[in-house]
Amino acid sequence: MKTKLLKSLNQYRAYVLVVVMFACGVFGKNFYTAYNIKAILDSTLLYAFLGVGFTLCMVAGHMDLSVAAMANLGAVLTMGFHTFSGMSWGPAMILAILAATLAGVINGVMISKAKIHSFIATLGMQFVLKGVMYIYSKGAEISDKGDFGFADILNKWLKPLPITPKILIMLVIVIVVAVLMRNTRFGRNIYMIGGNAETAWLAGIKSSRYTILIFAFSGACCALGGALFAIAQSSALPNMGEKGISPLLVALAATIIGGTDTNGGRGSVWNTFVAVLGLMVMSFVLSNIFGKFEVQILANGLILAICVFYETITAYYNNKKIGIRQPLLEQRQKELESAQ
Amino acid sequence: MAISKDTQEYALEMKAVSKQFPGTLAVNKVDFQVKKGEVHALLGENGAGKSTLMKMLAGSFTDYTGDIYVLGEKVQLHSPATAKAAGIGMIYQELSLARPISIYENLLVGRLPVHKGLPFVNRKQAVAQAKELLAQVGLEHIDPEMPISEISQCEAQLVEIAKVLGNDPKIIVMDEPTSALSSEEVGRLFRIVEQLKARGLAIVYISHHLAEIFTVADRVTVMRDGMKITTCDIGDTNPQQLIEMMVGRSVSEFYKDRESTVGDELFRVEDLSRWGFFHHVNFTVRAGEIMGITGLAGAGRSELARAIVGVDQIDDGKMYLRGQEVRFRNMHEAIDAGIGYLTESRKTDGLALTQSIADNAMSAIIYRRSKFGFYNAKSPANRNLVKELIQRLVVYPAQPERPVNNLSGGNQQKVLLTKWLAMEPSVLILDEPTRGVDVGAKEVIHNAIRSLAAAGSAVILISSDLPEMVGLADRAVVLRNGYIIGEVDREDMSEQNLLLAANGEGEHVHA
Amino acid sequence: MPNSTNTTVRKDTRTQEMNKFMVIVNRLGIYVVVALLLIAGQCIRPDKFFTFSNINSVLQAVSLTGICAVGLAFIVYSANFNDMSLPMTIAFSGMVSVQLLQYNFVLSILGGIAAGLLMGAVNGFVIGKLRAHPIIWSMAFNFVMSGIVRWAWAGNQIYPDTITENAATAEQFYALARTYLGKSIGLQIPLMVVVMLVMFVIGHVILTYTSFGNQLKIIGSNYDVGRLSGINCARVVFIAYMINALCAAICGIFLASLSKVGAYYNGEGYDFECVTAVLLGGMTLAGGKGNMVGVFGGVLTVGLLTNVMNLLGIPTFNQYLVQGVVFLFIVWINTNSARKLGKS
Repeated sequence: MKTKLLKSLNQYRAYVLVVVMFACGVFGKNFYTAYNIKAILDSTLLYAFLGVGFTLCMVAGHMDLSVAAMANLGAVLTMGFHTFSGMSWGPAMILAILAATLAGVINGVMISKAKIHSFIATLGMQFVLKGVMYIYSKGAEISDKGDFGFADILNKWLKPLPITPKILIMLVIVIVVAVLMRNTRFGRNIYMIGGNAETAWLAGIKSSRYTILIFAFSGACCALGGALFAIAQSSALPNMGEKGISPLLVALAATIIGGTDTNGGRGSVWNTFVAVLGLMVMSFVLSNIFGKFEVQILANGLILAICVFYETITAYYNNKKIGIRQPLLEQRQKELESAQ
Repeated sequence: MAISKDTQEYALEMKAVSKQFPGTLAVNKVDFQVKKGEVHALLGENGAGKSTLMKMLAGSFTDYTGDIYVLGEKVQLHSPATAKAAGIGMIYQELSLARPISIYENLLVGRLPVHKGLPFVNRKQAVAQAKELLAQVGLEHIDPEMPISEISQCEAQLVEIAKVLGNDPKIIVMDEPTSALSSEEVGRLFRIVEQLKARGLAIVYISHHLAEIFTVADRVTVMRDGMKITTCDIGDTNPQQLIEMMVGRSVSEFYKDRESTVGDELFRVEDLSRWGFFHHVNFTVRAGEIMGITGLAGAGRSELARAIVGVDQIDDGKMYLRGQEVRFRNMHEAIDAGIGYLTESRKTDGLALTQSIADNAMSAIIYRRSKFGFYNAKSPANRNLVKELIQRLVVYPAQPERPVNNLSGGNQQKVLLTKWLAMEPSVLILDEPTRGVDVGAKEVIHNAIRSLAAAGSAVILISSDLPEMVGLADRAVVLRNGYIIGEVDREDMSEQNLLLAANGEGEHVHA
Repeated sequence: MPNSTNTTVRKDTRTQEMNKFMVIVNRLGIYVVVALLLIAGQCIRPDKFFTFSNINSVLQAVSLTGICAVGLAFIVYSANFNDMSLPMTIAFSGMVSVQLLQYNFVLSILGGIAAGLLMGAVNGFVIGKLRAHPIIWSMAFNFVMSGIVRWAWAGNQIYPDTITENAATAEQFYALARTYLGKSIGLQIPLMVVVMLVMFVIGHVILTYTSFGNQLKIIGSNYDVGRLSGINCARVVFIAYMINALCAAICGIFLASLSKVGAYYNGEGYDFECVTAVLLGGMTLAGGKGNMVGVFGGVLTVGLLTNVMNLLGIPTFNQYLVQGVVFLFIVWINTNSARKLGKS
């Protein structure tokens, strides 16, 4: 009974995080205002996109360390195309997303064709992209000069809901990907590739094609997130978030808290999103109570580390129980009882 | 008339197929025919080319030569998908199921049903289809939505068969399907094979167990050195003859009687238990003795061995080595005391496949041969030891620096044994020392085991290969469901008695 | 039995011959790259490249990476991919040693090393004993430590005290990265370079000529094989992480001394740069392959590449791109040659 409760608590830990942290808001001042809730949702924007990309790759048994760089690329290129080249927002975003998709395809090809470990390939890609961005932006912040029209639309508060159009776009993407992963053959095949690549290969699933697709999609998704984020902020930096909470680490934390198996084959995009929400609620609660940025980093890190540690410990003890025979244990129980 | 009838009769025909690997012709112009509704056994030593032949059928190669016909139609098997489409179903020795994924998705991988007109998976229909398939292999009681990781090895094996059946194959290839099964479960598998045969399916059955082949097969084809030696009805041949054809020489008597010179008690366990795995185990091994532990797969034999050498914990009981009580917290201490354990699976926990023969041979004694923490793998003493071991077990190629993963299975198994001979064990536990090994390597390994015992060590032999057990062991204790239920001594040692006892029957079982 | 020899030898013609060229590429490939870079450097700036001061500055530039790479090589060798908590190990040990400067110079050095070892111990326990996913865990741990360090020092950088009576200790600390040896024989070799070379030698001896190194090799190729060969895997991996942490701590102290500041961002980028060097040096992520000689070559390559790019006048930011591309390219060659050898 007790273990069952714990098990389901663990299964829904992303939701638990959201609820508990939201409840902790009572210790803060003016936490439960509509504006604050809107702000929390707003802050999930970038991380949710990164989380989707990261989760997809991890379900397929890979790791995409270049998600943050991809988002950055999307942001810098969109801003740059708009400001430097005078493109309108639409084409600028599409071009930026295409560029990131291309980078994703290169990731996928390196991993599936050249057989480079995904962690290494994307680590290298991260630096390539960083170089590209610095060269393009000359290392400086790109901000749009007085053209806030689109930003205003994206940031418009759709009262009475605590939602803005950019969050709507994000939610639509998250839900579409979640349904795609859960309910289509395409999605289930990704799980199969992550669960056992050999099985997938034998079943005629072309895993290299899927790998390329997944990484391309991850790149596109992150770039979209980055572009929206940059437009809403009206500026883009080539090292977005590096000095604060690293977006990559939040994406990783959300993916793990959302219950994705680090070896692939298990996980859910929706749960990752819920975990992102949970982390953001936590950040807001903490900044409301302590007002310190450092505490947020520490708390985010701790939650991630605790989850990883918990998974590790469970796996460690489960490994010891592999092959245990229930009838024998029952017999032992009887022996003990009769001895007493 | 004859031609059309022939093409009708054969489910599978391979005509003059060959496959070249760099430096060697793995399959050399083989003709191979399987009739509808027959079980056709394929025999051969490791490296005889039967795996290559079957990989060809599975669509693993794009560059084989020769023609393959399925039900009289010529097919090109250049990918797993084309092989599957042609009606060939493969059941692999190592299971190809995704463990974190549900049973029904594993069963219907690549062909999950979707809602009409929508791209979404129809979960209900998928589960229903999966139930149907599971029923065909006698697993009606299992919930298809459970992940594979929650069911037993045997059930997983049956799920694998169900998965292949789901593709509606004309030909099923089974590669050592019984290697992970107990004899009860083998019986269950054979009943399913009979049913499939009755449905007109052609089954290619690969196994090293001759007894199984004589039980289940209708015809048998023997391969050697990439060539087909013969195909004949199973009724027209006998094990002796088959072995001779496989080996290419006459084996007058494979298992020779051994003069055993059993000495004093060397190792004894008393009331040893690991709750949930084995309970209250008692036995004694004397110097120079080969003691078998027999039992069905899953009886707790490997678990017992792992606990003795300290890899897993012991919950209760005592162990004595030369009369002194011992208890090992890890395997390092066991090795220090002179107890070795050759594991069951050379691929997963026996050999460091990417490392050289020398590194593997020395891996269990690095600590012992180091001085003040320093150890030189290439010192003359170490080199000579490796050379001597390679010679003793006729490892080929005899190059200490060659990585183990490009040796054949038999030679890998020999390297695994050298690792334990190198430590000069006083007690050596051997877990399936000749699994999946060809006859030649088997002989070498058996001789090494005999001479180890003759030199005064105690050997504990765990083996599912009953002829091996009968041929090697001086006596055998019988483990069943985690308890020792009996003992068979030298005089009564026979495959029949061992099997009976393992199944909990016969006169050698005490209450 | 007399027959057995014949049977066994006869049937085994299937094993493939090893490709000699690939063996050489795998073993020494990196020194070919080093040589090419040397030639390139000479061609670009014949007046400047082969001067003593330039070579010295290359060595000095790579010495920090090199010190870290020695430690990281043990992690890669044990098939634990990479230690993503390297940046925080470097930063944390640097900060602790700067903080302790107010008491005593020796205490500050020891404290810095102890701080690093503490992190190594946590990593070693969780990854070696409990077998956590090494990348995920070390990333998470890096995250936590980054939080702890920023929280503890309130997000500030710390500077050695150069004004009060502690100024002498601060000077001593600064001098660490600025000491030159061999003046008496007319050379000027920075202490850091000497430390790096000594550590490479020690690292090589440990990796190749100790039971620990040889056991690590087995564990690196297959953890379970190690365990079932009587190797105390948890302890061996733990030691590997301790060595790694020790190297990172030494690097962190030198870095703090060189930059005259203890800051949470001090170690940034080292995780990438060091793993680049190690992989360039011929170690594989599959573990159990490669040696320190190769890793040294990898470190030199990284340093020379930067130097040649500097001589060419490529701006720092653009060097990211070149480094990333070169990294991917050489890893690809490495993976490929390893695959051709049937080793990965």
